[in-house]
Amino acid sequence: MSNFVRVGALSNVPMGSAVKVTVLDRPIAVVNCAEGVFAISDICSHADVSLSEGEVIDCTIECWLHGSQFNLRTGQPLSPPALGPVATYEVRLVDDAGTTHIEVSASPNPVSTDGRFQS
Amino acid sequence: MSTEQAAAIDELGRYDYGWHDPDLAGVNARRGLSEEVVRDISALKNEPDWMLEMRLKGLRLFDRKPMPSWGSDLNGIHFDNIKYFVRSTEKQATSWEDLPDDIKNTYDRLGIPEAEKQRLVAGVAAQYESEVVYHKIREDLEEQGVLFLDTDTALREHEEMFKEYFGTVIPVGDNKFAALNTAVWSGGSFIYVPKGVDVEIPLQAYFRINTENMGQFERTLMIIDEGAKVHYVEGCTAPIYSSDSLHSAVVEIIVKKGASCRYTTIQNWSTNVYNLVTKRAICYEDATMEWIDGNLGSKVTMKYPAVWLMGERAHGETLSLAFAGPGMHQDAGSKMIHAAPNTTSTIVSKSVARGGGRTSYRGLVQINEGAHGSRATVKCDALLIDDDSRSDTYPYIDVREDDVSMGHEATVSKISDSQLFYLMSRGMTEDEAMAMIVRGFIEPIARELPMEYAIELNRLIELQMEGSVG
Amino acid sequence: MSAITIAPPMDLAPRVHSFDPAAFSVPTARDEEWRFSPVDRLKQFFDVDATAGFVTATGNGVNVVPMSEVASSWVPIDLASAIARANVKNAGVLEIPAQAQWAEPVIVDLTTTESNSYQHLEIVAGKFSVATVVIRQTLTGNVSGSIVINVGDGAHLRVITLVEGEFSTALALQMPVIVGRDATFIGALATLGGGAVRIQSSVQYTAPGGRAELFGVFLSDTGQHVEHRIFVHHDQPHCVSEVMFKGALLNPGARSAWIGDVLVRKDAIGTETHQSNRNLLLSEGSRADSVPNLELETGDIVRAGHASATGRFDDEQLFYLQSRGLTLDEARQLVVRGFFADVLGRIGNDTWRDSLLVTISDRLGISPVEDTDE
Repeated sequence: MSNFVRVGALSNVPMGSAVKVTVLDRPIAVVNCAEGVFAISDICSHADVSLSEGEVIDCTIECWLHGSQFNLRTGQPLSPPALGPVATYEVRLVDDAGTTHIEVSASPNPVSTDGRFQS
Repeated sequence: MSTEQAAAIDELGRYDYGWHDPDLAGVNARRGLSEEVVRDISALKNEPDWMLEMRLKGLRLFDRKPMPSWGSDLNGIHFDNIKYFVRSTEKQATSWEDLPDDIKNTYDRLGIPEAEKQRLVAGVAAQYESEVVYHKIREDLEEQGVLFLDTDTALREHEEMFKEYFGTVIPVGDNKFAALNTAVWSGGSFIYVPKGVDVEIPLQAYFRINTENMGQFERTLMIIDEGAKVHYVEGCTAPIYSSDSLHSAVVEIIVKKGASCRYTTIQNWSTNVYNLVTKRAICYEDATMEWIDGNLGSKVTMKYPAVWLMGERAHGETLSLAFAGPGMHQDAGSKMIHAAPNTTSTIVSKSVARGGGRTSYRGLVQINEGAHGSRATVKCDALLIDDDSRSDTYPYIDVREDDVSMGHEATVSKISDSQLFYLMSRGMTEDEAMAMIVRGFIEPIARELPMEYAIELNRLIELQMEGSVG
Repeated sequence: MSAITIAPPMDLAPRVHSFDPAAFSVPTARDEEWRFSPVDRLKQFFDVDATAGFVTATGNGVNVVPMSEVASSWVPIDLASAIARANVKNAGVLEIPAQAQWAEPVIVDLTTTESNSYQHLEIVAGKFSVATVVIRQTLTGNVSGSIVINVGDGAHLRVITLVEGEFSTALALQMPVIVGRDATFIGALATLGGGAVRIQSSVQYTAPGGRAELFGVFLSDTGQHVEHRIFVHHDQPHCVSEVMFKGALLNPGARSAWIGDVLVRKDAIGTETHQSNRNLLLSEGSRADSVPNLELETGDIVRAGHASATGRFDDEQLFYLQSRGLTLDEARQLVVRGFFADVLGRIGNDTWRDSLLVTISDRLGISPVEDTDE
């Protein structure tokens, strides 16, 4: 069973936005979108850019520097220039003393190839 | 301007675009970029909401993104001073007298016929002349199911297809100038070639009737369906004077399985123009993309035609030609991204700099993990005509797969004295000898150009070489 | 000395030179200069307050001199070297007297007992001297610093630098070379060890007639990041530079980056320059970046060019050798040996050429035995 790290309150991440947190020295982007709360590596697989600074579109987040969108579930890019996936982390929401907290898994999910470049 | 021309321009004003005209004077006099300007552009064109949203997003990203810290010196672009949308009907056709002397002289020397001169000068006007000539060609195309329209009309008449592909090759956020183009684009070509269709004649930009050619923020979108083939040509070797100082176009091309596309550009902007273009093609399995890119003028050109080789055995090729004369900086090159096995790419860049001009080759070849069996070669050659000129080469090579081969080579040469001596001893003047050497240097690329361009290019070189000695 | 900043765009020349660490910002992978570098593995060197020990330089003729007494002409160009320079107390100095003719190579050992250390080694070849210096940079801990080489007018100096050590270590090294009038410098750099290695060499000419040849061989294995950055600045007429670096990436996860910048200024007429980088990928899952940059401000040069090739074995070569009776394995070994032998042969010292060939062959698991008649 993997370790979960509490990163903050759900109220700190408004719907349709992303917040950068650090879990065990790793920068992670926590994203609140219509389909739920997701956590992915904050660094774009194409260049050293913080994904949490980009726009959240449906169930993806867009890297603001060159425009690649990443599927929040699988971490795979929807289009170039990014060609590789970003790590994804399991998220759970825990109610504690009346506040909903976000907890992120300390270890990344195994990589799935779904959703990589539709032709 | 002749009375016929004046009448023609009037005529154009009456074409029914489905635009409505709210505050015409306000919009057109306005300089600088703002959300209001972008909304007006979209409203004037009667665009669907999703396009307006994309434009607004482009504006947001444009504001947010930094200027490139590499490339050429773009400090001369004054974004606040630019008119981002001028309707073609309002566009004041430049008169012959307004042209700078060197351009007028070049036109004369190139022997451009009077009618052509007027067309080049007036830009959009005189389309009516072409209409008769090219009517037949357009009929043939229609029969084959080929769509060849200006981008504005394509959005209106083929919205679904447009939406499916627009912004997929070059996303809104790709770079600062692609974001700008997404916000304020107008004009450009839209081409769709159905499966298996081989379009025999090269499609040329000026076949399209109406809307501005060589507009500031053209947006071109081409979809070549499976097994189809097309050659598109744009530009003109003769120098084009543009009062617009910033040209930032975007070209997106999708080449599907087994299809092939060649896109030839020759641009020779006047030396007040910043020409910043984002051009990219995505190639699927067994597809081929060829960019033939000739940059002859402008104050600054930054242009790196790219091919994303996404399917097995896709092939990308760029032949890039750059001429930089006094006051010019051509910063051009190509990018090839290998993202599938057995893909191949070739880049050949030839640049000639004289009189203090500067040519830079800037490129990227990236062979990604999984792209086994890929092969890439780059050859960049620069010819320096005199001691004042500058040449730079900045190639990036990124290889992440072992079963590949990638080679890059660059050489810089001067016109050799012994070559000159030999040619002059055969009776040529020094100018003629230099022109001959330069033509020989660029021959591998020039021979791929359509005939009339090649001829004009040769004449242009002769002109350029004159007076470049001493 | 305050920082000198050059306004962009000037792509190649270092923008800031300063002794003051505050003149530099902390590198991130978004900076062009650091985009290929494992910034994370070098970050201890960006900390002004970090405590670190010092590297000791030993060897025949090497003197230990307080840093304040060393008249070094080189000014740091990045945060790591500025911090190292500010903190180093003693420098190793090797002076080759003018007119000296040293037949035997002098060996300089750079060693440390600390987990993080700063270093400064200054080599000064007096006018018209002839000498060979072998530097052994043995990494038992992380090291940040410089090796500054001054080649006096008319001198002929050969410096062979061997970098070896644990894969857990990091090295941030500056190796500026200053070449005098009609002087010749031959530099051979063999990077065979260290985990995160970033070596920045530069060549600066002070007068016409200088000649610099830089040869490099490197191996990169799993978890290694081997980066070489070279900057050759031609701002004097009639100087020559030749740069050739060859490397092999051995196993998955190996990483290398090679950036060769050549800048030829307007006054550097009669320049002759060529650089090349060849990377042999011996396994999948490795990554080699190669960026040969060239900027010319004048056309009045003898020649300028560069080349880069990256890939696996040339199948044709292998096929040819097999058709001559060699097994595939023997053929591969011959090709790899040949790959390195030619650049090692350019060093001009047979003993060290052979020694390096043996070391490299061992690392590659191939037989170093020389050709018999085949």
